[in-house]
Amino acid sequence: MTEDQLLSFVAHSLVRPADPETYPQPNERSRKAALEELLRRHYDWVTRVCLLEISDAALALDCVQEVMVQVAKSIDRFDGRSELKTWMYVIVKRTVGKFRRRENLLRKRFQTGSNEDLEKERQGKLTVKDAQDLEQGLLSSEKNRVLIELVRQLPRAQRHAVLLHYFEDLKVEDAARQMGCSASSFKTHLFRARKKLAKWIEQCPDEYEALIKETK
Amino acid sequence: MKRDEESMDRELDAALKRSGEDFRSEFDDALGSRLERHRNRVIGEALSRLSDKKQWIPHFEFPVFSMTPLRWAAVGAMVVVGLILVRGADHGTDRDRRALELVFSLPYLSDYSRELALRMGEEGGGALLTYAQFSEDLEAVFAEGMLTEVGWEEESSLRIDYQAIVFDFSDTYEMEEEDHEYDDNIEA
Repeated sequence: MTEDQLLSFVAHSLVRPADPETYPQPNERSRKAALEELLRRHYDWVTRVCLLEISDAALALDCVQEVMVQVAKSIDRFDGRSELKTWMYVIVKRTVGKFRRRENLLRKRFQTGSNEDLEKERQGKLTVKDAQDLEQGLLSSEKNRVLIELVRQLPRAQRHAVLLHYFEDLKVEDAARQMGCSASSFKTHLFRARKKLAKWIEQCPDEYEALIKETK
Repeated sequence: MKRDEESMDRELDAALKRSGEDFRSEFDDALGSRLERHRNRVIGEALSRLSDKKQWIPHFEFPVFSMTPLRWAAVGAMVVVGLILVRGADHGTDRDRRALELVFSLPYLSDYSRELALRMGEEGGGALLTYAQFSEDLEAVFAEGMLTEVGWEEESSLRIDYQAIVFDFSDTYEMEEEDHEYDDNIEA
């Protein structure tokens, strides 16, 4: 079943064709099933973006949950003027921003000597087991850790451009559409991001040499 | 040795691409094992929030046309307003209001006059509460023996009250000839 068909079950604001064979009348169960399928299809990229944007894996997975809940709560207002992924990306950006601020706050408290808040924050989450598992496996390679940590320090537009193009493997046109900017603006973001990364790497050439050596 | 900007940009581009590939590969591995549980829980949580919030809005489909509840409500409101306007044209006059006031102000007449008013509402079209029809219906009530429980004294009192209504109406409205004759019969 295509995404449009699934959406026609879920989003009331979309005009639903009257053909009962192509678009059977949805009841609550079928609409829930359609929404579940949509969330499953989009779970991967949402989780990747959250894990790339947020250093703490537990917070990142919490962020995924928050995104999915927000999508489920507001899917009825999706009007089909854009692709679902583009619409969801706005929710992802907003939610990630909130969680990054929370993470920075926790990190500051951690740096000031008290890590109780961070531990409390982690233990209170349903996803703590997943996060521990992830930290042992995902992002374990050092070369990824170094580069991703540098990418996380980039300004927002540049960071999103890098994540979408390199880590989500989207073409320039697709990524630009998802970000809501022109292709030329997107290329500018990418160029500036690489320039800034290069500048940072120049300040620690040994790590850069190691990085390039590993990635070749 | 300091690299020139162009070659550094190319190398960084390649490093980022490679990093992205590695990340996706690691993520796919994690998805098959560690993230599967998280995915199920996250989606379950999202769906449960949805049902708690009662997001689903019933959508009625009919063979000929389809309308959302909001449109059904709008159409219903228009129909109600239309009915009010139509009925108001027949019942909204001062005379009808006065008749209703009289009917409901009389203690003995109140029960069946309310019934008459209800019947008027069911029949619609403002058929009842003109003076002549009111008297006819009242007589019909007497004739059908609906007042057997109240006895003759009360009925006579009712007739006097009814006569009072008639005179009250006659003061207010120009009565027709047959109504005068009818009143004379009652007095006789």
